[in-house]
Amino acid sequence: MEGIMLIHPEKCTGCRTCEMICSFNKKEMFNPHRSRVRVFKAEEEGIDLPMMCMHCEDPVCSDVCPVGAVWKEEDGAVKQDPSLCRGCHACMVVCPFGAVSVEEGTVVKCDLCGGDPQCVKWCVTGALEFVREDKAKTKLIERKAEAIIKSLRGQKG
Amino acid sequence: MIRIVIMGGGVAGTSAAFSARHYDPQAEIIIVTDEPFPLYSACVLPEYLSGDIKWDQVFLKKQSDYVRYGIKTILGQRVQKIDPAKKRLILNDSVLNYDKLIIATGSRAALPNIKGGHLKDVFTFKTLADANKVLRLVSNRRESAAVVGAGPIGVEVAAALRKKGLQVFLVEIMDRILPRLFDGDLATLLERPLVEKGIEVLKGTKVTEILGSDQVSGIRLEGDRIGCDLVIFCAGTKPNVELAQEAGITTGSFGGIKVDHLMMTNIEGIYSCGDCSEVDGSLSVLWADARREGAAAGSNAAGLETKLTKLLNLTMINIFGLRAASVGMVPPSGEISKFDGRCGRGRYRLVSFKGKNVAAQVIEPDESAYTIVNAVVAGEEGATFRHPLLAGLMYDRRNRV
Repeated sequence: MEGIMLIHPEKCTGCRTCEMICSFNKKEMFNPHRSRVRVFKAEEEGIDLPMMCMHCEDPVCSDVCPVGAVWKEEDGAVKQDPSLCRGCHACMVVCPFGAVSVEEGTVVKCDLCGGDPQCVKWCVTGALEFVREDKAKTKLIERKAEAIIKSLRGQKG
Repeated sequence: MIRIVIMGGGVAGTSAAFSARHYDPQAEIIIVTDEPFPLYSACVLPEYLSGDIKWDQVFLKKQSDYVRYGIKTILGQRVQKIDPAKKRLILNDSVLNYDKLIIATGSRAALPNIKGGHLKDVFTFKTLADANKVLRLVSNRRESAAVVGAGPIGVEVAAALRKKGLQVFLVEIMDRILPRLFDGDLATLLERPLVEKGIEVLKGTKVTEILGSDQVSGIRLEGDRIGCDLVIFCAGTKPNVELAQEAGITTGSFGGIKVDHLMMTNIEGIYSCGDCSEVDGSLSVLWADARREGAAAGSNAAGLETKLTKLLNLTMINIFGLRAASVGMVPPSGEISKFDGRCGRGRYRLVSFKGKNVAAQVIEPDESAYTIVNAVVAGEEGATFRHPLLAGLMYDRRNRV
């Protein structure tokens, strides 16, 4: 994995160009349902949050897969092999980001377009950023994740 | 250079080995197992039996994978004795010294002690060897089979045998199939496809005797008797802890090897993981748990201090195309409240205990139903999810759309 995805929810306007370009790039159609990135909108709180596979440090999806179709690469990327997938959907159930979806019987998720994510390229506002992994950036990501949780927790009371 | 020896090459043992290698590139890592095969997936054995997947798709690791990571394997060898005082294992004809030992001996299928249990065509269904034996018989003019125990494995085996064209009886001691996973009414829904496909489901009864002189000719139930020429027991498992007990390692109240949060047993330097180990007073026989426990034990044997983070129980089942998922555990007593809902074609039930979601049972889920399950998983303290509230939000969002 050459870099990590950095999401800036405060920059996201909810235009959903990322969903369009993702489905076009992967399936040659403009269909948000076929997109591997999804923008979650919390209207009252004013949050637009693009979500996709976050390539977890300790990916639960690979733990629950009974056929070894999901694994974490040495370089940090979480990869899937659809040809091995038996379609049990266990990874969909456990993914905390809802990043796994079904396509033609097997599960699919964001693969970072092999290191050149199209959603980042086409994001007008820069809400999606693909950066080289370094300590400072990782700290920033953690801070952002905490901020999101905090605002949602406020909402939940 | 330390030598880490792992007893057992199942998913726990193998993930322990690979995780130890990840954290210690130098250590000598040896897996000793009585299985003649490299790691295979125990979850897909019913699908292998039905012919949906082929022999080579069962395997998760090839011999070359072990070689590439410098992990030695001693296959088809049973350990005779653990000698913790001298830090060595006694094998059939050799002795193996260790610095760190990981016991991942797993579990074996329980075969109840009833009359006729020794007969030739009585099987359990736990290992690849079991599956092969059953498969050989099935292709060899066997016409009817009784599957005892309607847990997830029993149901899947019954479905697989039915797909092979046998007449199948599914015997369950409780009043419903999948009794630990689903409530009565949902279990009835799941029973429907089985009955539709021609499986005879016999509930609330148990096998008292297996009939036959040399080969199986039938089984006797309470009061009833049915003819069949193959019996498969899928009625629970027992942890393999005898060797550990002999070596003075303590076992817990469920019969598993007692380990702390670092997967260490009462003897320093001996770890345990997988089906044979008991963490926090609970004995899990699930694939994902075995894998996580193995990874933690392996990294700790390599010198780290990885605490085990547990997952919720999760079982996915597919009965002739009808999908269902059960997650979490319904507490045996107390203030339980249940909430039923519909999602697309399917339906779900949320179980909460003291105001917290603890379990979900879903039948024919679509994507939004999974998010409901996910919200349950996320609501559980100690689960490994980092952004539980995000999942909760997605649940709200998708539910509203």
